[in-house]
Amino acid sequence: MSEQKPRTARIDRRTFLAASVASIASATLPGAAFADGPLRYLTKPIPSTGVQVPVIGMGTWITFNVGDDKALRDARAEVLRAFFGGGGGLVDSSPMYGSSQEVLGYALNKIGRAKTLFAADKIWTRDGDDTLEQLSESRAHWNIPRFDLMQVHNLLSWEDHLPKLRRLRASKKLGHIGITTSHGRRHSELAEIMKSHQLDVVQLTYNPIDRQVEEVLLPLARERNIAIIANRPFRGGGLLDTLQRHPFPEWARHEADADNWPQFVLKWIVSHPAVTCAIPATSKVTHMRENMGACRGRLPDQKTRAKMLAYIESL
Amino acid sequence: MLGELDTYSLIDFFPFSKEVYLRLFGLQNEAWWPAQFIFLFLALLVFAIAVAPVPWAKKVPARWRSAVSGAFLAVSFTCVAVTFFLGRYADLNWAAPYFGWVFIAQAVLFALVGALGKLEVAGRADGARGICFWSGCLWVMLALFGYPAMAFAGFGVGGFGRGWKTAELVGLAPDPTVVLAVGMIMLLKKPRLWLLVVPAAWSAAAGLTALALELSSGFITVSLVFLGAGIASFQRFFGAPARVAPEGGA
Repeated sequence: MSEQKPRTARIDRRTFLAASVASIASATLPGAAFADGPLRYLTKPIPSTGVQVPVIGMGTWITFNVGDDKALRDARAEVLRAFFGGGGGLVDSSPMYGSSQEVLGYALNKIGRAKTLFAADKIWTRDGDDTLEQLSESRAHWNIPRFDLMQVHNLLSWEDHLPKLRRLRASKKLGHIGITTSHGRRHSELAEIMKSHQLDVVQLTYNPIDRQVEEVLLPLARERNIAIIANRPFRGGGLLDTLQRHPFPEWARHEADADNWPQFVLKWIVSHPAVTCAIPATSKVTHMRENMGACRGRLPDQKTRAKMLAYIESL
Repeated sequence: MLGELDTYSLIDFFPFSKEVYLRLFGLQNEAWWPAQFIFLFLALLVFAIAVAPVPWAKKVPARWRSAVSGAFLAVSFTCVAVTFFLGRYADLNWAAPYFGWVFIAQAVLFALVGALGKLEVAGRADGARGICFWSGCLWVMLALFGYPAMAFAGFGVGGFGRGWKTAELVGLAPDPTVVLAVGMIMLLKKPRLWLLVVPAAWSAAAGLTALALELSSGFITVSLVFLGAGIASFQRFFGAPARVAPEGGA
């Protein structure tokens, strides 16, 4: 890992946008970086627009659903602070996640809305007439003027929601649109949607164990210029529990700039050419700081990537 | 919202952590303090009137005993529905309001059945009737004192440290409330098995919650409810006709 100074500086919007604009010309190059003073954070582009996104995002499934428990809301605000402090940008939530959206809104208000925030949410309703109403409610929960990304959750009534989201994107009321799945569900149907609709982003489960998407969906995403957001990078924590029972490979420190197992896994995921960003979720500041370490240093090349996977498979 | 159920897995219905779930009961207890003691006092009073173990309770007519039992169960289920399922728990779990409305429906049933005199408690007896009666008494005591004791001992979280502040209590938490209801139904002269449908449904949900969050207390609830339902069914179909506690004593 390259030498790091204490992370006191914050990325400002100008730096972020400058990096984004500069990257448009080289949007197909993976592993770009933007600088925050002496710090460089890894970003990758959303192929359809060239907008750069830090390679480590944050999920809110379970972790941010704490209801009106003030002590836990404050604790989650600190997790979010650590996320932005570590170079994070994309935050993903859903109306399905209980109070997560409201807690995010609370946390954003408390710590001040980071200028690098890339707000991603989902439409989760069977009723095709509720698309705009739910989007509006979600925006009110987050207390933001617009979403950078709105996805159809778990393919639910996607035929009704996608046309409406497309219209919002055309009128600049949304940054990007996408569709999500997880746990390996409904991949065939997802592939058909990716082939027949103009999507900016697809979110799916991808990690060193769940790799079925490498066969069809990831190549298809590259072919169709669709960004991939990888959810469940640690398989709900189970993968890390397993890996942490084994010695960490020292070679990964200088070959992949990974200092611990979370960074090892995250760097392996986001170094896939089709993947733009991974969204681990955590409720602990220490874990968030570990995760955000994967947003710095180098990404492994394909040879190192293969070595990393072989090591995991050997355990 | 429940459409396309095939696309969901168990964990989708529990989008929160064990820590958050247990703190929910702490917040609930804090918000409604000292309602816990009011519920406990009323429950013991209703139990005493229902089984008439003390002289003054024996003077209460059987029909009134039924109405009092029904009213207390109705109030308990309504309070759990409003403060827990439609209130605090709904913030965490989108499926909670469905149970809220089901609990309110059950509360209406208890009130009606009680008013119609169908919650008459049987007197002490031998054989299957006796087993059912005394088991019912035990279930009621477990609901009132067993659940707080479990929290006090740190039991129910797969380890120690839960603490008494997060105790699940009758009238404020669903698990002890359904166990109390099952206990009261087991005491009946003629156990109304259809009144067990909602407690059984919730206990199944509590069991799934326990499975998803690795909480042992939920398994206790599902075990108590289904064992109680089994004993009540046995009494209903194979037990000797029960002797109703007469005006003069059980």
